[in-house]
Amino acid sequence: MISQTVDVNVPRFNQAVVAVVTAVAFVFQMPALVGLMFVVLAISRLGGPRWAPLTRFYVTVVRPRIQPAGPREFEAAAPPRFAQLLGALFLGGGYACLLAGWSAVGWVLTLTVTALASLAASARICVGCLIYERAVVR
Amino acid sequence: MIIRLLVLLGTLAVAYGAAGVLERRRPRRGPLHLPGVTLVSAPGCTLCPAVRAALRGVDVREIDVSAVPGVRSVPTVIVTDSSGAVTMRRSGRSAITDAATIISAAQLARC
Repeated sequence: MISQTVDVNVPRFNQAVVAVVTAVAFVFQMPALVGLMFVVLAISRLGGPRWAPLTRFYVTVVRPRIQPAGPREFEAAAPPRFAQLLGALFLGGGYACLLAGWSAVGWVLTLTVTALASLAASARICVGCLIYERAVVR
Repeated sequence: MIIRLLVLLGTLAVAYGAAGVLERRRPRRGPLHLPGVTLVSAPGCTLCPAVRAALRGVDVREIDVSAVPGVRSVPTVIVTDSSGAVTMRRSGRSAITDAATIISAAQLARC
């Protein structure tokens, strides 16, 4: 059963990693990293938290070091999951465009994810979550 | 590579700028702007019973996180004054440890 709440730091860690890796992919022109992030997000979305590589890494390696007492704050899990789905779709589309030779479109889609993931990780403004709240909840 | 770095920084600057503008323009209405103390909870929220216990004696309105756009953390306690302005907001364990402050803020907000 998928949990209805999630440690607030889990989506933020995921978003920070996605932002950094896609930024590196753009600056150093490494489309393979875009593909890698697409695969990571797709696995996370399809397999759930148990199979999510970044979530597993955070929970088993990072959290015990920075929060030994366990998570302190939770949030509803559905909005970040929806945001993750949007991120996977954009990165999948971007990677497909990069493979097809449409570099400009591919990098625009990738940079969109970079910017939104960066916003969500640093300022807690999760655009995908806001879209979920407006489009799905209402 | 320098051009790509500049493009990246420009993209981030536009995103942060747009987010700041949108955040300032977001209408201040909804359940959180009703006067009083609101506890935003969710099914499976492990800390919510402790928050309820810490705020015993205070008239707390409880709403599900799915009904509150803009709030995603649970538990979150929000104190709103009679003008609809949020005067205090605490999430997670701080909603329990700062219960006394929340109660004081709730009493002030009623004035």
